[in-house]
Amino acid sequence: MKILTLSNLYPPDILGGYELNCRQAVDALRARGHAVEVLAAKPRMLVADEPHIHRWFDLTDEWSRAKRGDDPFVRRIRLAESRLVNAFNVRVLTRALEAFAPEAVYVHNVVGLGGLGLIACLQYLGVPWVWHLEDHVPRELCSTEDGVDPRLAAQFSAAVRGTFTVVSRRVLNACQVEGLVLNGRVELLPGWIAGPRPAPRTRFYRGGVLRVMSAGRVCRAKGAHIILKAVALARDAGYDAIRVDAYGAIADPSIPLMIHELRLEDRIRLMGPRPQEELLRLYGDYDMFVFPTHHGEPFGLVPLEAASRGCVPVITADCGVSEWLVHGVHCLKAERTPEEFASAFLRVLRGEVALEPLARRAGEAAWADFHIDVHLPRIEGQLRDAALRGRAGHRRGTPAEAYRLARMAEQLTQALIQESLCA
Amino acid sequence: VKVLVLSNLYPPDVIGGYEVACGQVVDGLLARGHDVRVLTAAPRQPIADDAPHVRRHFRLADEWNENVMGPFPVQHLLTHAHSRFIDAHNVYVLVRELEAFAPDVVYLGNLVGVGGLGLVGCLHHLSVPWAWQLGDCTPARLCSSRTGVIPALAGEYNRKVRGHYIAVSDGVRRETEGLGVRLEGQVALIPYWITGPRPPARADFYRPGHGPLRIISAGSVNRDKGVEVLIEAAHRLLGMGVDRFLVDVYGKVGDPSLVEMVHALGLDRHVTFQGPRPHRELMEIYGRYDVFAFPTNEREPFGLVPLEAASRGCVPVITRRCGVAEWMVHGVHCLKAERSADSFAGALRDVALGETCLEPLARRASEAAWSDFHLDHVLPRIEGVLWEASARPRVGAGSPSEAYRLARLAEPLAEGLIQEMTADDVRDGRIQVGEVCV
Repeated sequence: MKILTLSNLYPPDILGGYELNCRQAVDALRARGHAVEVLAAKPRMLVADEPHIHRWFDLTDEWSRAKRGDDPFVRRIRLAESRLVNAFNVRVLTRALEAFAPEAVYVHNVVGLGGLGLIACLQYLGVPWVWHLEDHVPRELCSTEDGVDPRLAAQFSAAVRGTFTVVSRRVLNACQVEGLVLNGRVELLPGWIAGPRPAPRTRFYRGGVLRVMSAGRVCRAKGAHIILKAVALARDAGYDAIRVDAYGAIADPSIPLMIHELRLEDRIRLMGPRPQEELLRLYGDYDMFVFPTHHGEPFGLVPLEAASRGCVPVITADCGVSEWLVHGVHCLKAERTPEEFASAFLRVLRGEVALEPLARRAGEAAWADFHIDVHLPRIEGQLRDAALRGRAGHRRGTPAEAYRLARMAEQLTQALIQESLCA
Repeated sequence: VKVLVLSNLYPPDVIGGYEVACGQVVDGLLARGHDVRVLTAAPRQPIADDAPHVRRHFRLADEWNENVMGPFPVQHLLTHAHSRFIDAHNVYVLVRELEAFAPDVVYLGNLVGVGGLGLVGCLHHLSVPWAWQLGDCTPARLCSSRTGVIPALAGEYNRKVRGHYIAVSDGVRRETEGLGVRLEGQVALIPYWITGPRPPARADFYRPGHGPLRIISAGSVNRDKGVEVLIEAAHRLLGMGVDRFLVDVYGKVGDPSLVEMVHALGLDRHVTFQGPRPHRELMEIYGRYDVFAFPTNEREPFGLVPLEAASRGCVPVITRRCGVAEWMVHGVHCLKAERSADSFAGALRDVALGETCLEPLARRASEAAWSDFHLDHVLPRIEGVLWEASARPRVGAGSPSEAYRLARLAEPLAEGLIQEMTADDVRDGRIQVGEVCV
């Protein structure tokens, strides 16, 4: 099949796991003989060329405060460029569609690209697509700083129809709020791991110092403060044999201060960010992976990666990945409080929970149920079905019209923002 | 020679003659066997069947579009900054193209709209040789804010930027340097050009008493181009008792008050607005007129249309000190006049009454146009400049990733400074929402 993949960024330039999973899917599809081209935004640093990756989109970096701006007007314009429409990117897309003539388009994260305009362009041209949702991207695309815009949500629901694969029920629920509906075929498909299976783990926790790790941005949203307090509570309960290494960039400067205030310098180390390949090796050196992320976490791939290396996840009970793992079978789940996470540590430290069977089952489940090779036939089937439906459908508009409409929409959006702020 | 061409827009999407000329040079260089690639902005309208050597990958900050500029000072200034100072996306596109194409030299056209200063800064950082075709005071424009040239930017430009310039008139060079932006390096004066095959020589010429004097003007119909001077001159001609003439004004009416002026002066029988016509049609139309009136403003960088008219034996009557006037001799190839109704009326009266004989002027003007101002004649000189520039040693070159990183630093810095300054200006009442800023 000829597949065109759309993503805001693409490895090695990434925002998070969404882009990494995109690459893994692309590589797997290519390995199975599909012709896959990737259309992504210019990276934030120069990266080596790969012939099938075209970094032609213009990125509106709404994640950078410097780019987002302080002026309310600038913020709204930037947000519109990022989410609603960017005519330059619509032109890039139409040119790629003309040049490559894909049978289906595989859409990933399109925030930052004027994603709504890209989806509208595909709809307008009758190009079949499958949209892999590892986050509530449709909701974001239909939102301003004030939340979901009901008119945009209504228009999205009325006009957009295709195939959605969603990594968790909570993402699906978050996408279907305030009048927003995902129309068409909607399937749950978890995030995945990739790569060859390493030799099975042989060393498991049997008392002594419990080696715990976390990975990801070091901030309160990911629960860094909960880890700190949980370790302090365990210590105060008389269980001192716990060491936590936190890998990732420090996104909240209050966290290092908190380590100092809680006198945890000898128990918690901030290790800084590491490349994914290194992290995958490091998981094997730890007994537990602690993941007290926020309730809205769409999925959370890192606990799954840790599980694949026999590092037992302790996760927030109601985050995305917890829908796919069973407490006491593949992981430990805890309410998102320091007390609950401390309790999980204590049960392991006291020997009330044996990590070895958990680690074995979690590792087995990760490779058997969550590897990309397991999911790939489903992804292929969805893309093939979409392509078949697209072939039967009508091409409604021309690329030139789509670009002209995008330019009109872009200027209209700016005019409306101006009017709303002038009023 | 491998030539990478940078231009804000590229035919068929053009703002004016600057981009048309760029397209003609590219076609000429390709025809002479050079390996040429064009990097330009995404067009404002869809374009079908682009040539493979044209890559429309730049992003345009459309500062000519009122909708894009909008009423908010901060929007004006941010678009302006992306248009003239820095656009990191475009620096990325340039860096990748330089790596992929590895040109011997870069030929720069109009860089307003694509963050031109950043592009020139990138070429400077990478020590890539370039030659810049100046159809206007583009370096000064790139160093300007809404209140004129920014001394700090001009100072930095003067300190760092050195290369080869091709100015279409000495007026362009003088005006640029008069604004505080020096053209360091080599400056070649090479005029604009006409293109295409030479038509049969003109056979009919104006003779007093044998029909009216047929006067044409073409271009934007506004006061900047001097259409009000021409209308007023027509009124003076009538006052002098010269009645047998007609003035046809071709072009889009940008200033409706000019139409009212014709009515108010009772010139409806003599002055007619003919609307815009395609370039090809205009080239045929010139041969039906005796005189091409061009009372443009004195800072007109060149002004190609009088030369095109001259190539068809239609004698130019032009502002004495505009760009094209540097290249034509009064009384030999054209008539020059001060930019006033009296002066233009006097020149036209002399023609109408036969005191100035048009035929020898028309023959000489046409001959000069085809022998000295045809692209075939001019192109070897441009090639010479490109060749000379390409030989410049590439010493002390920085890396592409540094250039891109610097651009990514500069862009948010410029945006941040603008937002800070605008917030102060709006708060203190120095700028109002709706005020035209640039």
